[in-house]
Amino acid sequence: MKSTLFNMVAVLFTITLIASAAVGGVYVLTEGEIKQQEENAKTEALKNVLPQFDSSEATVVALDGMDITVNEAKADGTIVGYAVETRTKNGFGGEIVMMVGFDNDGNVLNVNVLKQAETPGLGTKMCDEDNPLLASAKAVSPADAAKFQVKKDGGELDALTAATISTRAYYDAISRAYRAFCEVSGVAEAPEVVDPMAEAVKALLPEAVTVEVVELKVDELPVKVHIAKNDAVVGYVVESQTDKGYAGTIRLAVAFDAEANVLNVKVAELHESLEEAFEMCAEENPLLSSVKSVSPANTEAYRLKSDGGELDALSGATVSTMAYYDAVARAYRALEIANEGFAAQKGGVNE
Amino acid sequence: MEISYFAIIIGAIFVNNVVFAQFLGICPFLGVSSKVDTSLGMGAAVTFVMALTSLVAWPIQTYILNGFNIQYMQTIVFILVIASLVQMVEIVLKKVSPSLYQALGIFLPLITTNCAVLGVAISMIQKEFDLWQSFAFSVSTALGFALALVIFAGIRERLELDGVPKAFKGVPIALVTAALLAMAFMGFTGLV
Amino acid sequence: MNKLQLIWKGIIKENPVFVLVLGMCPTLGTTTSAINGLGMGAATMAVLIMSNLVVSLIKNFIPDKVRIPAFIVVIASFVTMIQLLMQAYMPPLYEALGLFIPLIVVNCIILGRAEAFASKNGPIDSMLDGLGIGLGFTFALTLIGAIREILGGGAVFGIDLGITNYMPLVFVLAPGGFIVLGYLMALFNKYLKK
Repeated sequence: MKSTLFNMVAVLFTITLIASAAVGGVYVLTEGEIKQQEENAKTEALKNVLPQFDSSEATVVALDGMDITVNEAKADGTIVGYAVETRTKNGFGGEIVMMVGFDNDGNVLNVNVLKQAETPGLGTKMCDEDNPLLASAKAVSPADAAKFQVKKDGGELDALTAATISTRAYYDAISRAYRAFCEVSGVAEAPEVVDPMAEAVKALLPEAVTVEVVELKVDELPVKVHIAKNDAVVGYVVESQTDKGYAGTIRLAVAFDAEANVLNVKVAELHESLEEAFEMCAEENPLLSSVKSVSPANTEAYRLKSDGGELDALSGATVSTMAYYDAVARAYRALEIANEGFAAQKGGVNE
Repeated sequence: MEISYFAIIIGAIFVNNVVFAQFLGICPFLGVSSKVDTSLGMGAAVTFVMALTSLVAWPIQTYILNGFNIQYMQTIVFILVIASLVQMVEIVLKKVSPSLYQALGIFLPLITTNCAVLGVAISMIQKEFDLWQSFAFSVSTALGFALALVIFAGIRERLELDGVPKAFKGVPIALVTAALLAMAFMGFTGLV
Repeated sequence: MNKLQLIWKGIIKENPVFVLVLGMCPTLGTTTSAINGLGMGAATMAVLIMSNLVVSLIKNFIPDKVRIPAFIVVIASFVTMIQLLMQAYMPPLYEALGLFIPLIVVNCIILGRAEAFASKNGPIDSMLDGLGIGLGFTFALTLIGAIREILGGGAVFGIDLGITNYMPLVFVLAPGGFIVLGYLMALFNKYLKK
């Protein structure tokens, strides 16, 4: 057919009109069914994780900037359990959404992963009917925050082989679900969110009469120095951090004795994506023994062996290694700055 | 959504590379990747169109489709937007910059049916990005596409000179090569 | 042309995937399992048959210059309808195929057949052509899906073959799609394409 402006516009207009009408028609036909399916999917998810119930009521709680939905399920008017739609942003492949069922006492009944994008065959095992994560979550109560951690991090929970990050994310979502459960049900007190840094400082700080805290900035990053004193200084613990990690900030608590020798280091926050980097959290590891033997003051020696220094590295995690040493060095510098400050102060008083 | 631009950009170029991880835009990938020059041209044309598409499709989705609650019309509206955009770019380029038109012109008609363009427009809405995040996402996805295309063209130029079994000549060996590249790109997994 | 031949040629001699090398994106992207491949093939076939029919019916009323846009509108409408129907009646498959359902619109096979066949032939022949090519596409996707599922997951159509733990996972991931398709295409070249 020959093209004129009129027939082109007319034909396209007609086709579009008929097409949208047809699509609109199908939409109207399927709209109810689609809503029904979504509804079904939701009840199905609830049924999966809860005992028999006949009605449910949803409450939304905001935790850590995420909306967590708590469904209170009742049978014949009595509460039979809670299903919490919880989420975490710590997954390997983005957000994970899960439905966690609790009985009235806050024990985990079942977990149903609704949305995840973990590595197929590794992290995705969390979706299987019986997987070690689910078994662990049922066996250990999330009320005990210290135990409700992966064994590697000092808790009692099992992990998926070669999927540590997915594992941590899974348990993170369940802990969050439990906090939401506590808030809505009022059955139990929500466990305090453990601040790993505070824990680490507490563990490292020597016994002393007074503890002074000095906050300062080293290279733009905030650092906190705890000074334990009887009459004289007994030791220091420095909350240090670095932004040179492979996947964001690493935070460490570094304990020094009165002569500013490194006594111990505890890692409080670590996001590294490489399995190898987590070695630095171990009680004894090559990084820790290196910083104990080489003082950051000795700039010649305080370098990686590959750079002609004396520091060991974690094989396969050089970036994380450098970040660790950077944080320890920052702690040392903070100590120096803080001490100069005191010296000046003292001088002032004496005059 | 609290996602940094850095994460979006690195994610779209390397980790979730359109071609090697998401399987979008395979047709032009196999079709135009026999020479480095042409793949650069195609990459540039796709980047240009994707950037424009994100800037047009996002407001349409937000203010028209969501506004009138007719999200189900998304596919039809987006494909028409892309088709008209490509047509317009072609007309404007022809008038304004004949030299650029000569360089990119032959690739433009191919872009309408490049599923990467429509795919990106739909994904950026699904991921609930705001306008500038969508723009960053589109441009970096396109850069990822161009990167895949150029790397692949480089390999194929050499492949031509090699003795390949007859049955594998052409597309089959290209696919096997792409598999190896896809494995290499899997190394970026977990970067962001 | 014999009607049966019209269908048969779409499956083997002009197989859209192995011979014409069209529609590569869904071919690679949705074939992580046999059932997903089958579902994608069936959805594409439905759109192909319907759009071929409509295009061949309206071909005489469309001005040449707006032929392509008109075809695209027709195809996009059918895709949206299929999308809505799948969402309503097959939600698990809809979830699994995800982004690739709307992307049926830009599957070159569909626009290609509308342009090359339906705009020149009658409605019955066009539908048969759509059926043949659609079956060929479905066959290819299901085959690739089955192979990837067996090699990567030790199962086929979700039936566990009892060898799950010994299979290389990579076949379910992106590289596996490229490798399986490459080898199948080479086999097709060697034995069937003359």
